[in-house]
Amino acid sequence: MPAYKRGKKSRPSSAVDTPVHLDVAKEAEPLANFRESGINNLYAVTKPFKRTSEYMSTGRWKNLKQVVAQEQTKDWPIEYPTYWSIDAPPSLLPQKKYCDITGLPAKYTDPKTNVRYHSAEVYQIVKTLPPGSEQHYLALRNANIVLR
Amino acid sequence: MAMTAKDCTVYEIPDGPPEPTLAKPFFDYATMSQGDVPLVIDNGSGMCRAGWASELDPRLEFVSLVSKYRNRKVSADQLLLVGNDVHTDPMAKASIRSAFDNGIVTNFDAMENILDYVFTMLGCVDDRIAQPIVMTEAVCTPYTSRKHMSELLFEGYNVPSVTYGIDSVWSYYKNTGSLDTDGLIIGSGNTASHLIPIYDARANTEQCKRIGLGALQMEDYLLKLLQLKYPNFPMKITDWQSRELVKRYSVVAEDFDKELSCYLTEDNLADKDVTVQFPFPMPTLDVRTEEEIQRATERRREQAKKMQEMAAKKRQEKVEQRAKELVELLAIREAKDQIEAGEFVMRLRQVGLAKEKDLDAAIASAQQVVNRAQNKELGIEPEEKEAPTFPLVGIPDEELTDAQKQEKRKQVFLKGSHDARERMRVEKEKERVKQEELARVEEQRRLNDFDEWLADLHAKRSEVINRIDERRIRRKDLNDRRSHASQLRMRGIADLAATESPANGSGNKRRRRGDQDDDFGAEDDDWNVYRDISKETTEEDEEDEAELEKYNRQLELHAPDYLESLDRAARAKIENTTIYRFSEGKQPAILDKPAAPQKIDNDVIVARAAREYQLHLNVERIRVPEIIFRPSLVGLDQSGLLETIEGIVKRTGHLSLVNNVFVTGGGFAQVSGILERLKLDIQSVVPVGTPVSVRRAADPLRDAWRGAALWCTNEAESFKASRITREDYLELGGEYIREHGASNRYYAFPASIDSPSPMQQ
Repeated sequence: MPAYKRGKKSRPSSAVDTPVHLDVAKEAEPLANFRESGINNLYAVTKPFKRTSEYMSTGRWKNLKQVVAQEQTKDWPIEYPTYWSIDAPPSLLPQKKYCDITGLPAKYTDPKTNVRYHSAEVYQIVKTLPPGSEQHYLALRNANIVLR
Repeated sequence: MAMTAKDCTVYEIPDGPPEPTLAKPFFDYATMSQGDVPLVIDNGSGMCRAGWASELDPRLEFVSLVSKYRNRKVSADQLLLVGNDVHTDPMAKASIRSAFDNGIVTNFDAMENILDYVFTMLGCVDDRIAQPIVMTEAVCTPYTSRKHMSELLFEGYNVPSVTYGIDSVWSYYKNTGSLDTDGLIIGSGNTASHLIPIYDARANTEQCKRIGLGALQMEDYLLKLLQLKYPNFPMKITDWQSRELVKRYSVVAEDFDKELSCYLTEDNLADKDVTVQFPFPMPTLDVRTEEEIQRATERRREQAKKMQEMAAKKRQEKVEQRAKELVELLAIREAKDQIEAGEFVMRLRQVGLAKEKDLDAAIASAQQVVNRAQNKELGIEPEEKEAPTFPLVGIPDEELTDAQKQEKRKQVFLKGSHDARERMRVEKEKERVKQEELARVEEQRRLNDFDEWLADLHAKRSEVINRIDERRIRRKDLNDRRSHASQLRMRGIADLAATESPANGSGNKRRRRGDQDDDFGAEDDDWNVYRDISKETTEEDEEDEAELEKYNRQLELHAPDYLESLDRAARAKIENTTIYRFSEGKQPAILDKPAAPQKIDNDVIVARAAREYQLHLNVERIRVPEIIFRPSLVGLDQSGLLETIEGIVKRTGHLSLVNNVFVTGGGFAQVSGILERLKLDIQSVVPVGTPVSVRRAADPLRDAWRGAALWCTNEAESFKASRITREDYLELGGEYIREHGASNRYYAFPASIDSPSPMQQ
């Protein structure tokens, strides 16, 4: 199934006709009312190079996730690189921990909120965080609780 | 020593990007399109660049954004802006869309708009695009996306041919001169960073890896960090500002952990911390000169004087009036004997009096007023009232008549209150003498042994401060019902109630009223009763504040440096905390209650207003670009740059790749220090002595376009062979590509499995 249907594309009326007789150089004719109202309105330009009768978009586009999901169902050879196969693999190295608040190396984790912190001084801040706001800090490293 | 604000360099950041000027179209399409000159389009997700392969630089460079919107002021119809033009109309802002989803073209309506814009701006007036198209695409673009792109190009614009290639590989080509040299490309774009090994004279996408981090993620990360760091920042930090901050101030640390551990030390802070000033509203200022202020006070003083004079005049008039009255009244009294009783009463009535007795009282009071005024004028002090005598008090009741007894009772009462007054006066006097004596001794001590006196004063002062602080903490604790302090208090009250109720009537009283349980405490507000009760603390506070004020005055008078040093110490205590350095850098701390008197002039007011709109970048500067080396920082479960490089080198077996690491693109490639870091990191994982070299593209942003243009001319053979013609498209489908050194790989599915192409249908 071709993704495009052929048909006439609806255009704003100003772009359909081409009567342009302003004091613009002849070669610039199609661009005459381009800058008319202080903006480069692309709808106001005639595009002679386009084949509007041949091509019309469906107007519905899958996002990348859907595209990938659809393509993954196909039978790809193992050695062939695809969009999803070239993703860098998970790290095998131990991950160092950093303070969620200051970004400094973190030795401690607050068991109550799971916020990592650098020192006793930073812990004072962790202690006074309004309830729920620790989630914003955790969200930085994707460790927040997401309710679905 | 605390620094003043002037010592820190403050970098300013504007509200938004400079106002874009309307893009201007070119009109030389006819001359430029002579022959078979390819049109090169670097179709990046952040920026799009387009131009003629025969030229050195792209003609067009614009952000890949599209906005379809309505603006009734301009037109009743829908408007369409593309590229940098989307920023020329503020109304367009809300509808800005991108054609890309994570670096892959997915929205082909927007893509169509972008291509329309490209051809329009290049000035195409032909009825088709007769030039071969050379276009970049993402590494391993999904077939669907490429298919739609080819459809758009061949069917929408009727192009004769198209060649797809990978942007960063063309950038490599531009900087290396050919693809024959082995190397490793790190192409870091807007949303992702690709690592592509070059060997066998081509880009080996089979061994390619992608880390899902780019310029956008840095911008996003910094924005979130700043929002958390300054939750009360008075203005909204925009994406553009965040991107600008990343671009200007982020650096890749050579040794992240080492640098991090000493990033906020005092010595480091001066050159690591960056103060950024956001635009702030100017506070209204008192712009009068010294002279003008003087004149204003002068005027006020004169006014006050005039008022006083007027009041005095009024008083004078009143006295004169009373004097006149007095004369009249005296005349009446004198005339009393000479006139008839009836006429006398009439004359009394005339002056508003009823009885003869009233006349005497009126005369006495008028006399008093007049006398007082005269005395004041002559400067005579009113003499002390004679001490009243109470002759009857000492006489026993038996010797008195009933009337005298009554009089005696009155006198006893009067004497009592008089004595009490007298006692109070004496006591006050004594207290005053004592205070004077104390002050004198104090003064003596100050003169004799200044140091000891000062030390004593300090001690007393800090004691008062401690008391105030303690109470403040207690009050704060009491507000929290679960705190230790308030639990202690509750227990105390409960104990009290328990011991009191049976013996004392208070419990019974309630019972007598018939409600044993009044539901006290069922609602939290009930407990406020107790908070209201503890009124005494505020009184104590006032006393202590007054005392503190007294000490401060003394210190200010005799040891002015001391208060300064106190403030300095208080500031240093705040400034030396990690948190303060993190959020305020090297700025001097602002004290809640400075001990020394503060001078607040216009400069100070402006500086304070400006500071509200300042923020500090320090740890963020290295923390943000570090995410490409440690994706776990942003919670991305992928290996970092070094680990990925290591993996590629190991899998391909080409150790020589590390001798030609090439960094390009608009993302991490732009951050300073990345080359040094990469080199050090790579050296730490390859065998000792392996040559390692890392370089950056001459122009990481434009070289992809330039490389593509150059490749078309210099590699004419490959270019010719890699054109996908209209026939190819119709025969082999939209996803088909002809492979070349800088392209993706193509895999043709067996015809039986794949859906038949339009031609076969």
